Amino acid sequence: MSRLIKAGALVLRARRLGEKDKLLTLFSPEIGKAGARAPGACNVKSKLAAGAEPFTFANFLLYRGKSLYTISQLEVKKSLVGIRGNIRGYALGLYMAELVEKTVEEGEAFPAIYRLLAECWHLLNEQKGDGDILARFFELKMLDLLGYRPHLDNCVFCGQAKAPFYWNNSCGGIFCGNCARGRTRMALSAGTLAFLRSLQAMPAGKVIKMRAPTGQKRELREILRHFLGYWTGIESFKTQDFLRKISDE
Amino acid sequence: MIFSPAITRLIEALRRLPGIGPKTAQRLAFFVLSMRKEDVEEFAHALLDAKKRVRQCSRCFNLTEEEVCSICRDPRRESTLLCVVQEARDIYVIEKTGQYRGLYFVLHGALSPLEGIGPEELKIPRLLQRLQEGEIKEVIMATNPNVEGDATAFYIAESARPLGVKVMRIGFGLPVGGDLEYADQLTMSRALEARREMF
Repeated sequence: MSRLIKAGALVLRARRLGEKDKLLTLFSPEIGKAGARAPGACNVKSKLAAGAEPFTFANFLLYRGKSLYTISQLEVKKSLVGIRGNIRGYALGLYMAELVEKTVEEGEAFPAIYRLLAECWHLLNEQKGDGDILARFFELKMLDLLGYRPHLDNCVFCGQAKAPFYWNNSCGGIFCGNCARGRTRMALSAGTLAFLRSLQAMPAGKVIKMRAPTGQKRELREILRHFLGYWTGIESFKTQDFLRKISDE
Repeated sequence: MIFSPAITRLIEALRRLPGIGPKTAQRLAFFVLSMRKEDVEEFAHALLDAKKRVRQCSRCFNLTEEEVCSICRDPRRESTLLCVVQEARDIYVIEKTGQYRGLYFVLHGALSPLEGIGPEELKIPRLLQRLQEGEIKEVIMATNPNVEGDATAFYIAESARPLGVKVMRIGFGLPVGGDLEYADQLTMSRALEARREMF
């Protein structure tokens, strides 16, 4: 098998490696998540410099090593420079990258997640719509693709479809008042449930039209944060801490 | 163990330096052992002395041996112009050009959500405090031309907007001595955006 491979990929993360190199985390529909060394990418004259950055779509020529790829050549297809000009959009884009980085195994090709991330990054780059709602959409779709889709249609126990509904992470979705007896539960407002259902059903292109009051956005964020933490086992995200630091809330 | 404990300790100490791998660390360790005792003592003394004396300037956070660095103390410097850089070593690069006569401010890093580095971990609150004092009229954001550097520059520009300070970004373009055919799309588009009249 040839040790030189061609792959289109998104750059999830770039870290400095030694004096002038960078260590990239690539996410490709062909090779999945992979670490790649970009030799000399910190040098201003390097041909790899412009592509060795997060929010970049590029075609890579990679040399397969024992544990890492080494980038031989790259051709930038699209660099999402619009994200850089908005600190919240920048942090949300990196939050999506961190979520992918932490939930997808190395070398596991996942074209659906690749497409989802590419679409959401494009929307952030265009600065259309509400970035926070886009992040919630991304979380819901990621949960779906990872096999943890929250059940939002009716009661997870008896199938009853009448409100009010309650929420519990371990139940995997909503349940009715009758089934709530004796269970740890969290009240879920009808508005928030309707919003979650809409997000779960819609394609990425329609999310830019969605709006929600600050209180509801906070409720959505908390519900999905706990649900994600419970099912993926990831306790914290550095990018979420960063978002809290720059947030006015 | 191949080497004596003292040599192993020296190799391990040298490996902590950036860009030094195990082979280079071994080579340097054996070089140190071949040096004259006085030279090794001078070398060790220089390391300790620099670590003991050098600190951050209380005005700009450049590295200095005084309370306030020589650039901040220089009365010939333009005191209304401030160049913001990520690291103290960036000052040296700009000073070498001989083109800039204003003051500096060192952030000691860039915003990095994935590393958990927010504004409070950098000197950004101190920078905004300094801009509030009112003496600075123009700020040049000379953070690195990458995603983190750009985001840091935009964050500071946004935060400084209510203060009425003019915030500029250093120019981007093609490196001197390169060929156009090797330029990437982003660099080329930024070079076109920053085009200037020749006469």
